[in-house]
Amino acid sequence: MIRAALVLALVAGISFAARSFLPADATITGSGAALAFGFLLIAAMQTGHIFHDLRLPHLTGFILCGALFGPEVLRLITPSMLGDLTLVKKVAVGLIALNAGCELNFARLRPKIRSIGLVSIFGLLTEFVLLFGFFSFVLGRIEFTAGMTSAQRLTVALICSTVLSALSPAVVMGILKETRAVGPLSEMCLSIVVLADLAVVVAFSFTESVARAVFPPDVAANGAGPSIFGALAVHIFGSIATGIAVGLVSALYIRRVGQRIGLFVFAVLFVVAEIGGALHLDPLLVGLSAGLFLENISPVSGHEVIHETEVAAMPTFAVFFAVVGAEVHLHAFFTVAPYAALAALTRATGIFAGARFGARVAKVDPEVAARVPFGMFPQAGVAIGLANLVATSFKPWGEAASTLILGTIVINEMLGPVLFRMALARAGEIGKKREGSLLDLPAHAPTPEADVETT
Amino acid sequence: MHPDRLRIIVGLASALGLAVLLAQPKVKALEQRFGVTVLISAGVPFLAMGAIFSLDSVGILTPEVLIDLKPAFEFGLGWVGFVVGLHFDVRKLDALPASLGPVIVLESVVPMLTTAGLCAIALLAMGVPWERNAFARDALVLAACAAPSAPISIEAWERRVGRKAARMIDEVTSIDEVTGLALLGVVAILFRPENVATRWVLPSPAWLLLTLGLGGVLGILTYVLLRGARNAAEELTLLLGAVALSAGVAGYLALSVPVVCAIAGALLANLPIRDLEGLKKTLLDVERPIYLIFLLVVGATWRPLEWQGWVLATAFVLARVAGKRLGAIWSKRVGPKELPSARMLAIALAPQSPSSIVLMVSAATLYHGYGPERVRWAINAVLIGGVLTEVVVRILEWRRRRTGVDLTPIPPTRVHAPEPPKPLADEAPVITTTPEGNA
Repeated sequence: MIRAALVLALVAGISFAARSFLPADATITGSGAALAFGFLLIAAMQTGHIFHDLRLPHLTGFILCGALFGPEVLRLITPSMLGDLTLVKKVAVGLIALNAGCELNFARLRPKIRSIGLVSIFGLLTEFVLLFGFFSFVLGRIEFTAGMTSAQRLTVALICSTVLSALSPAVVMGILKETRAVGPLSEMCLSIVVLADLAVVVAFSFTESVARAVFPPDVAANGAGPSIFGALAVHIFGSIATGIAVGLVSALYIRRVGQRIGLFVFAVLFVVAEIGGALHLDPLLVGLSAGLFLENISPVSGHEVIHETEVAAMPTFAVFFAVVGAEVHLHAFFTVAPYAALAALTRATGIFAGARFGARVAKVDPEVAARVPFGMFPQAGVAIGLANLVATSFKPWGEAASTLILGTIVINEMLGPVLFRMALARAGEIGKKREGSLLDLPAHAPTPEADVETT
Repeated sequence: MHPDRLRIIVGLASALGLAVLLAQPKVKALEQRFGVTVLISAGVPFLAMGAIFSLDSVGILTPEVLIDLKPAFEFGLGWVGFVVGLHFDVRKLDALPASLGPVIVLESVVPMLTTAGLCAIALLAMGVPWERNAFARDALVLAACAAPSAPISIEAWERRVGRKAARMIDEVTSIDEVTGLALLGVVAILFRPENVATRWVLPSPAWLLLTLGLGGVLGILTYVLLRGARNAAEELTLLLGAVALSAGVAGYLALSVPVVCAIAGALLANLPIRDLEGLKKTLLDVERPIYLIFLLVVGATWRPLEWQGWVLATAFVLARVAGKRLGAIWSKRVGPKELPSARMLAIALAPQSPSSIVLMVSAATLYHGYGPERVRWAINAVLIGGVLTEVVVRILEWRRRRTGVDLTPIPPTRVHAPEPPKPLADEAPVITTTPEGNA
């Protein structure tokens, strides 16, 4: 822990010194991004070690590290550097989603599909209903809805509760990778968050259409064209189709060439991330569809892909969550802290009650049923993305609603991983995954003999 | 789908396909078999592809796409810098024959001098201004690119000149890159890019100290990070972070990225690492895709129709090959007696190392705001020069085979039956091969 703290201080010192070369608001595109990437990677790993020694998830350390050195606190990482890291983030999301998809084997899950479906449906519905009730009550007391009619307030509540219903496959996947957990709880949580997140993205397209209908065109000024619903449909189905294409190409490559698979997959995700911006594709959906295709339809095993890309998994998770942390809207959180805390509590209550009820109906093992809700608490990428979409799509109120949503996400982002890790530990699933892995191979660190030689 | 978007997809996908194809071990094996470098096998297709993709009518490598690739670019420069630095293991250098040192110096410094001289004349003749010694800076950058020689195929050269000589040539090719990097470092210190927004105003010696100190600190940091790694995955993560941080800090301070990273890599190579070769292999595995990205992006600035680029390329090749030949003649006089003939040595060391692309790209990144046309010519000189050099080498080799003249001392071919004891009884049996020239 002391070593990690010292390294963190050294890296931060070097980076701050380098940043002082240019004025605070200036940056250099390529070098700034490389500096931010390198710094976040090393600093996140060190913070992860410190958190590990405190028996907290590495992932929370990554997020906190990003938040601390990000644009809102110490400002070592500037907003433009974060902008330059967008591509890295997209590639990371794609890889995380691909891994998540490859983990889900429908044939294996078939006996559990009813349980997964019931827990997801009841968990999401209860969460949504409670959040909707909470926002319907609270929004009347918040300034930005002052001039709105009751119907409009309800619509804003609908939007906020839909976005906050989102779960986080990235966080769940990150915690499972970090802890090398495997077992019924891990499997169920991963299945639920992946399927539920797809449902939330689809649901958001409906609620957004409702919002467009309720708010007159001059108020709901957005540049996305006449039909957000249509655009989102294209976005969703386009992403799924692209994901299947990516899966197909990857399967062909693995079968026909079979060399440097990790590098190939990474390069494909890079191309998808690059063109995804132009085509409005969601890297999460693309990666997920590709992974599901590989594991369930193609003759290639998804685990082969996971094994081959494992080398890139640790840096991917570290940078992705550090960037997510750097994007945390701390100022937004402080302006809406009481409401955000209440919203997070309401959400947690809804998930807990709904998931427990669903699990009881589906007759899930009580040990698993008691802990499944903890896998549904974390929030990150998808929710932040949807909140940003609200800010840009619905002016003038979208900005304020987004602040409220982001403030709530901060709490779920920080506490969710800790709670989920605790649940996995209690379930005894941590460290159960034992495949041939880079985590079992030693580093090139010096041996004691080498130390003796040098002394 | 919009045709522009379709173009970007098809373009990037085809670049990806070609990169994957050319990164296959089979391609490497073919290169070794035919004795060509990555410049020939992948350089020309990627360069051409970059040039075509950047055309307005094609619109694949648009300025936005190039900006997105820039961080990868800086990172790649740092990565290759680390690889070069890792070759600089003092323990290995100490094990080399003392007389090989002058050979390394001569084989890299003489081509640098001839290239600097001839390219400076060519640049001045093409109208590059005297002001602020711009021509000198460009000529020195080209000189730095002239130093590194492409790694040889040990097996092929063992058959031609014997094991010991082949090993020596191999050592020369793995160390001469350092000379080029050193010159590039000096250029980056002497010719600082002017940026009015910077908050530091330092004299050149301070920048020299900063370059060395920064490289040293980053090397120690990398060592501390790798030493603390708990497994191979974490080690790779920290290595990625260290390279990116080194590249980012150096680039941010407008220092030469590969130079700073090479210093860090050299320091790392000389600290106790259990499996230095394994670490090198990890770094080398990604080296080729990095070159391919460089070539693609560099291709976007390539203008093959600019005659100045071809003139400079010709001057570069002539000066470099002549310099290598002169260096070989001199080396033969001062170097170990096992060295092959000057002609063979020159042929072995003439092919240009892919790391010269890195040196050129690094300089182009530093000075892209100063005479973009000159940057394009210099890029043309190094890349086309690399291809032309291989053509020249083939011609020289063909001539050498035709004349059959070679003054290489004949290394022994077989293990001789033990002879009656001589006064020097501890002499090892000598393995001999017949050089091609005398066969």
